[in-house]
Amino acid sequence: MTAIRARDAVASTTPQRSSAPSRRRGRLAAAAHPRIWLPFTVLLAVLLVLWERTSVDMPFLLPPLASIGETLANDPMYYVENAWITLQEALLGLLIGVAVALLLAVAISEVRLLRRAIMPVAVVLNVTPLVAIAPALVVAFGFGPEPKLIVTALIVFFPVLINVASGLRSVPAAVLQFYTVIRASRLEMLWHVRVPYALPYLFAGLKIVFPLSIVGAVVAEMSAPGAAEGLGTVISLASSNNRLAVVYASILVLALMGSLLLAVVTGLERRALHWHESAARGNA
Amino acid sequence: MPTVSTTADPVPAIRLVDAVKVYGEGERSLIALDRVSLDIEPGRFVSIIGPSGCGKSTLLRLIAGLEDADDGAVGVFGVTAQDACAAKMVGLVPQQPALLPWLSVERNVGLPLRINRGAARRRAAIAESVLGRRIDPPAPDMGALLEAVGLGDARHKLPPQLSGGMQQRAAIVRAFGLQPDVLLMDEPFSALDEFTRESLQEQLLDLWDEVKTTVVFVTHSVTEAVRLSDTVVVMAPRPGRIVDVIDIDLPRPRSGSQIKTAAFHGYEDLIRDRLQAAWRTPATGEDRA
Ligand SMILES: Nc1ncnc2c1ncn2[C@@H]1O[C@H](COP(=O)(O)OP(=O)(O)OP(=O)(O)O)[C@@H](O)[C@H]1O
Ligand SMILES: [Mg+2]
Repeated sequence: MTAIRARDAVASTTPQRSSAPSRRRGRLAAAAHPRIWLPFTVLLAVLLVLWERTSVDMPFLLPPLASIGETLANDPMYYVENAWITLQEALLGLLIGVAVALLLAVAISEVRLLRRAIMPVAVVLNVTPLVAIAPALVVAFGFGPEPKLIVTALIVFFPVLINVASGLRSVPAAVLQFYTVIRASRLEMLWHVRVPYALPYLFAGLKIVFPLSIVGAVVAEMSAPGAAEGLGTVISLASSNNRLAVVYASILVLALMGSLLLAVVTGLERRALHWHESAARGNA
Repeated sequence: MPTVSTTADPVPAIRLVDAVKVYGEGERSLIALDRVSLDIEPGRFVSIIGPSGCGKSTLLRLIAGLEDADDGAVGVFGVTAQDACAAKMVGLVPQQPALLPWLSVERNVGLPLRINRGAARRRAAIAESVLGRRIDPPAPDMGALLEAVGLGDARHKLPPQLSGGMQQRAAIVRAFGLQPDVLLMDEPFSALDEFTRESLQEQLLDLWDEVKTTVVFVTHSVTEAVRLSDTVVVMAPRPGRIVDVIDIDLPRPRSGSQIKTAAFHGYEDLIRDRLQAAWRTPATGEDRA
């Protein structure tokens, strides 16, 4: 008896998991260490040197780095405005795709009949190269925002649906049994048990689709050149005019946008899943 | 903390009449429970012991209304298992603690009280019609229950931060907090080391002393069954059936030193004999009512 008490006392005095601010400080401090940033910095430097040498030898393969910087510096608002348009399309498409996927995930996890009906359609949709739909959508909807939103939403839809649907079903049998015995209603089970269990799966899906949403928006823009704006349009116009520096400046901005979106999801995930083991391990 | 079952009642807490459960169909069907009959009086601590696959968990699932019997009847305080569960009269402690990893211990044990709120009305109605009196169990003091099992300091921690023994303690408090009329426990200590297991047995008996409820406790350990129980039910497999019901006439409280007495060993030997006999002799057609 006393032995057990002592054992548990040891367990209960182990340090509490550190609070969020101190954890963040810890992460920043760790990131500041040369061991963390040095390898990446070295690799980046090597790549930039290779790029620069290539651009000197073969200027039609890669533009000189300086020219990319120059076009960005000369007209930054041009890039910001077009990036903003692409970002809006991506985020709105993301919102639609994720919302529909969440609703359907709940529906198919609650109603087996719907599951049988919807899953095959979703799978076929997933193996269809959605990028190829974009021109058809432009024919149907014109040069407005609709084709961009539809393509983005479609691309985003499937990974979220699959992840959340499996997440909602990932509740351990013993947990389900406990709450079934006290007859939790379907809604109570969903809200208190299934949805929280699905959150890690949701975030795994979001990490995939946040950057993907930009791909969707850009591809749709490229399918409707001329009349529209956005970085995809900028890229296709610039490449048909052989303005490589503009192409790569746009690509750089897109890459930064993608990274930004990924950072946003990761931050949200840390907040929502502080209890989740994999998130905790990721912090270490 | 009074519950419905504190005083003796003519209505059994659990009544199984020729309960049958068959899994699968045709050639490959398996009789998990073969006409099992059993009455358990309110407030008793009953253990079910038997070799693996003899239908112990199946029996619990029938009482918990997780499955329905294919034949026969399963009653809890005079109503069906389904109605009893809808009235939150039944609590479950599974083999795994089954706590929600994102909720603190305190919230984990508190959440079930906020779920299925309509149950209180149904429960009162059942008590009135079946037992002929109203019940009004006072809200349980979860803090005190956590304190009683030594989780007072851990109440704000998340389950993954606790040892397996502490998690199972929390699961037990969660079930007792419902003040169920029937508490079902399926090998709750089987994943724990011997030290922890013994301390949890003691705490379980303490809690049961306080919240006098009917307990059905599935175990593989003969010592555990004898130590905890008023009655030990011995089951045998193929087909799953009850072969013996043994009352344990040992004084309570049963402290650790009780385990070493001759009377205790006598019961252990008796149950081991019955288990072995059940293992050797396959089911005969004879009546086992
Ligand atoms: N859902 C199911 N489908 C098919 N067969 C099942 C199912 N549940 C249990 N069985 C079978 O019924 C029999 C009794 O199972 P049960 O789980 O009740 O045994 P048990 O006594 O609890 O065993 P253990 O001690 O290993 O937990 C076993 O042979 C098992 O294979
Ligand atoms: Mg079992």
